[in-house]
Amino acid sequence: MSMSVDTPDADRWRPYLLGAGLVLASMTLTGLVLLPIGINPISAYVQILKGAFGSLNAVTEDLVYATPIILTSLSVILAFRCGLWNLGSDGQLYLGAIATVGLGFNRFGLPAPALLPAMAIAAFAAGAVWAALPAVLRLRFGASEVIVTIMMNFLAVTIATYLVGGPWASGITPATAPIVPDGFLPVLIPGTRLNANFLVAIAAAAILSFVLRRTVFGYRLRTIGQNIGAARYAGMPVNRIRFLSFACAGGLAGLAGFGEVAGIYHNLPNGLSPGFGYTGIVVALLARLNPLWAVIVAFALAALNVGSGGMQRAMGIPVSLVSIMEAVLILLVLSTRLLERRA
Amino acid sequence: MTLSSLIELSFWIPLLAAGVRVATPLVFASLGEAVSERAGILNVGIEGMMALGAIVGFLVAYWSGHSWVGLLAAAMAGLVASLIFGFLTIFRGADQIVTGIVMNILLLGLSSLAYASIFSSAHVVAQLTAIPVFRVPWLSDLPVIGRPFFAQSPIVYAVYLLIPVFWLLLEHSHWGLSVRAAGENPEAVDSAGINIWYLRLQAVSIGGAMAGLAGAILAVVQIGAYVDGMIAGRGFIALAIVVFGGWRPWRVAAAALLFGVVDAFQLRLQVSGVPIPSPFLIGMPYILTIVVVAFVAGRAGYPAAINKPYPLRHFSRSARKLIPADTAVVHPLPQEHS
Amino acid sequence: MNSRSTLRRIVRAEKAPAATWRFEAVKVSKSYGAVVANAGVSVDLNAGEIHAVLGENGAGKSTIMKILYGMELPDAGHIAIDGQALRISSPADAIAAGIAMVHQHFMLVPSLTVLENLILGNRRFGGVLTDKRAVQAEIAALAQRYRIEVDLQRPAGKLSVGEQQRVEILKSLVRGARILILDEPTAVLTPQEVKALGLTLRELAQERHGIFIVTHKLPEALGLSDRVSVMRRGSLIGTWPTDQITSSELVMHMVGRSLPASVSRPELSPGSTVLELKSTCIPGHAGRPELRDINLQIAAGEIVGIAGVEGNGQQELAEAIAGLRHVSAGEVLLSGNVITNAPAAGILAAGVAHVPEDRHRDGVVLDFSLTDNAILVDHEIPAFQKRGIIDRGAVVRFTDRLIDAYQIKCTGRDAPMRSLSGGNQQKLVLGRELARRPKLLIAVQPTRGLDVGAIDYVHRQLIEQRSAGVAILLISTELDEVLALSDRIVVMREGRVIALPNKPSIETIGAAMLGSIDRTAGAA
Repeated sequence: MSMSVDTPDADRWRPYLLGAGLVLASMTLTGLVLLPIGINPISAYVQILKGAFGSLNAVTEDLVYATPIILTSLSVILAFRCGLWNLGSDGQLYLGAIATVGLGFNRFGLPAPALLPAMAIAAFAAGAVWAALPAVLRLRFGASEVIVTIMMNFLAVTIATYLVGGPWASGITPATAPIVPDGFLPVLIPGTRLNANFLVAIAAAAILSFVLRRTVFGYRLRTIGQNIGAARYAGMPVNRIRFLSFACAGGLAGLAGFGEVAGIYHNLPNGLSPGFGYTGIVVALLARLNPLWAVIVAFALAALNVGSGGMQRAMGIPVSLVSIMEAVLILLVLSTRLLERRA
Repeated sequence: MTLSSLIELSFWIPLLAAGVRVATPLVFASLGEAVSERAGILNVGIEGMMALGAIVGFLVAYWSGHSWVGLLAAAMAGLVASLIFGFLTIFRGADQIVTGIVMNILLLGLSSLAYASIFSSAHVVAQLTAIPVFRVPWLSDLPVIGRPFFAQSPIVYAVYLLIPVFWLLLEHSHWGLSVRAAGENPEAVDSAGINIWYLRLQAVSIGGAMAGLAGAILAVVQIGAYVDGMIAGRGFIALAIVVFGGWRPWRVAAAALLFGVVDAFQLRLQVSGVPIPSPFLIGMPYILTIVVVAFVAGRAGYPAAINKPYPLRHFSRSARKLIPADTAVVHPLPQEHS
Repeated sequence: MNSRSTLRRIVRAEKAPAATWRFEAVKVSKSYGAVVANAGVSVDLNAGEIHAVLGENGAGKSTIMKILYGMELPDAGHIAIDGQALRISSPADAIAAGIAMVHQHFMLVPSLTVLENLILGNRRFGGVLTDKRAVQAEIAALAQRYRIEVDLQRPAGKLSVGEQQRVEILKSLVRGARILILDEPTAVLTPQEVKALGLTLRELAQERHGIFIVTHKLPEALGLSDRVSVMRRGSLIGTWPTDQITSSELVMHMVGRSLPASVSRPELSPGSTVLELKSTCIPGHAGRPELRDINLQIAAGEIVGIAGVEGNGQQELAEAIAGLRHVSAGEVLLSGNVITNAPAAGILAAGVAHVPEDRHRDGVVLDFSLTDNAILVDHEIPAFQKRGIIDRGAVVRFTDRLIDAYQIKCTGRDAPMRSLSGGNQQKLVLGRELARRPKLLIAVQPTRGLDVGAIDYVHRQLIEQRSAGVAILLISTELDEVLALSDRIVVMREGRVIALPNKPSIETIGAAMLGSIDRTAGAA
């Protein structure tokens, strides 16, 4: 996929101003949907803002919600940047969560300081492995990673559901048994759910941005994504780089699962991911595949989602309204050629 | 169910019948997508269009009391969705995969929202009365194939008609020739004087309408209700079926049947209490899809022009004004004969 | 209008009196953003005439023809037949008016048969379902009448280039075209095939068809036409009857001055062997020929030119040497070291530079800046990176030096590659490759799509490198270029290298291209 994301924009701010305009447009359009049901869209949006920023707890909830989305969007960005579609970040997230919970029971009796890092590494590895299969099938056999990664999503959820209902069941809640307290991620602000995985997500974004812009690996990756013929011509090890990138992308999504388990729920519940993977795709596209912008866009979307919970509680409007708004926004973006596919 | 029962026809015939039933929505979705892809448009959004078709079909059938009205409405809903998709990809050069994924998010969200807001206060899960099976006289009494193929709901018989229609359309009509050319060499089609953009829009609309129908068949004809997440990846499986079937209607239908049988098989296994963990059973269709895609990918080739938008012409308004008012649209050169 | 009756009328018209008409573009202008492609161009065509439109790359001749065929709309001006203005806003309109175009890149669908390609979009073969048998007989009769040999059942992808062109011409006739526009028709033909084309065109002119030929090749323009026009930088310079103007006058009009004296090649005695291919075999793929038993040697300070029409294996040979294509047998040696099937990165690092044929696909990344493109091949040399992190300062300095040394016209080193003209893009590629001080330079179609100034520049660079002791493999379909630059010339035909005598003539080269000379190269 060759999007004009590496082109040095003479007018760097124009796309983003246009983007802001589109956000307003999509909010208006979605608001129009509410009118026939007899609801005032302005008050709905006000409720969203209140729900998102009305209290310290709300703001930390925004950050909490943003954390997995940042990671899945980075996962998508890393893959997209070398021309591969990672639509499987949801499934990779689940595998990361499964690995986290599995180690989190600490059946092996690891010492306390080693447990959390071990869980993180296992989550990354599990996500990477879950991504490695589609990568191999694509690079070796030419199988469409679009289809394979989506299939792997369904498989991952199936496995997770089985574990929750079967071998790892807690017996009480629709979730697995809890992990040991040594496996809890430290909380950043007491009294909130904001945990250290948020820092992990920010760090990942910074690292990815640096790698893409300033390293040889990143240069090669970008070249592969923009013009694979040129990359081959220059002798770059195309398949090796793509495989590594895709596996790391899976690992990043695995870390998202790690954060949810070790930082929020402390077990693996059914429905762990309300579509973090697909939201990650939306964020990646809106951020034009830029890791740093992805953090900001992820935060914005997270605030929107958290705020919409407040809106639902206050006004009874279902939260799926917000996902419609996201989708309308990106359709508008698509229609303006900001993301035009170039030959 | 024991191992020995696997050899008996009394196992296979009902399995085949179930397979035909399960395959029906897949055939609809795949046939439509095959036409769309032949023209060069890959529509990963059919999952969302199926969901849209399911909710629209269900709602309309519920309110009107007639199933076929619901099916019609679903087809139209799918058509509208694919027109949006087509507009963005054909006329705005948007990447087909990106747009398709976004359509999925949008349509899945919309369907879920619609169902929740309309039935939120209901205490009972809304249901439709099932359409009775129609046994074709004489044909349904044939040994082995009689029951599976000729004792089904009427929608299945519609499939039997659709397959040869699609085959004729794609392989033996002028429109189909243009579509096949559009997927391989769009410049040739343009140069031949065909409006390739509208041609592709037509093809993708067929795909969308069929996807909407497929979703409605699932909801209205087969299950009789709408459930969130009911499509469960069938739209993506249809993408694999199209590849497996080599974009040819008969083979696509056969591939869909294969998937239908496998899905019916794993359902039977689940019910029978065989000691296989559920992920392997539920996951069978997905694993089969992965295997198919990996196995076929190397040989099969997507049409050459897939996901390559054909640039629009520079139509400048000022140019139109400069043409003198008395310009003939066509002025054939003098013929040779007197 | 029934297809049968129309064709019958055409067939019967052999005995009809000749009709005359006049087709013209009147003061047509077209701009793409800031670039003026056509400025007030007026050109006309009469029945039974062959009119060549001559101009170098970028002169605007393709644009005016696209407008005539409805693939572009003009910003000003109009098209007329016998003085009556005509609205042609799409190829469909053009076809309806009896205009057909034979494009430079053939508009055939490879997986469909010739017959299906001819039926495509043709409203005369109406109805919903295609009735192939009925149509086949009519088309066969038409082909016979114009003496065009074609196999209607073959898939179009399996035809040779000359055959494809014949099908394209037949396609025009099946649509009832009176006017044919041929865009660079001889670019892919051998000299003998050009003669055959000329005969077909004469046949068409006899039947009172009118033909536009768009080309940048002077001798062919003169050889095939009754009238010739010259376009330069978007304007029509003039139109003359072919028998009343000379080559040199035409050249003057084409470039605005007389051509610079062709680059002089100083006498050099070649040094040690840099590149050697021993009995190399490269498997074929996707209809391309297999290369068998290739033997070739290039010494330091020597330019070896491979002439030959595209599609005979030149591209594959270049790729194999550069490490981009698998060699199945034999050896490739660089200064005595075996590099057969070595990874491309290693071969490039060993001193091979490759200026590829399709720079957009292989040589540059259009969406990257100049800077990012400058380090495409050398991004990991120690000068540009430390421990995997790119040294931006060094890269920027290098790019600035390139821009300066090669006078690359751009808005700055951060300008996207897309914004540069073809010539400037090629300058960057060439400059980048030469800055690596290669031992071997593989230049494939190095001047394709460039204007005369840029072509001259590239030629001078190649000669300079030759003087500096670089071994150069030049692959080009432009015979003049090969003749002017090469110390030795070989021809590639269907995967084999054919040696030629010293200082061969064009006829000898043409004969080798066709297979009349069959000696395969020994130690060429």
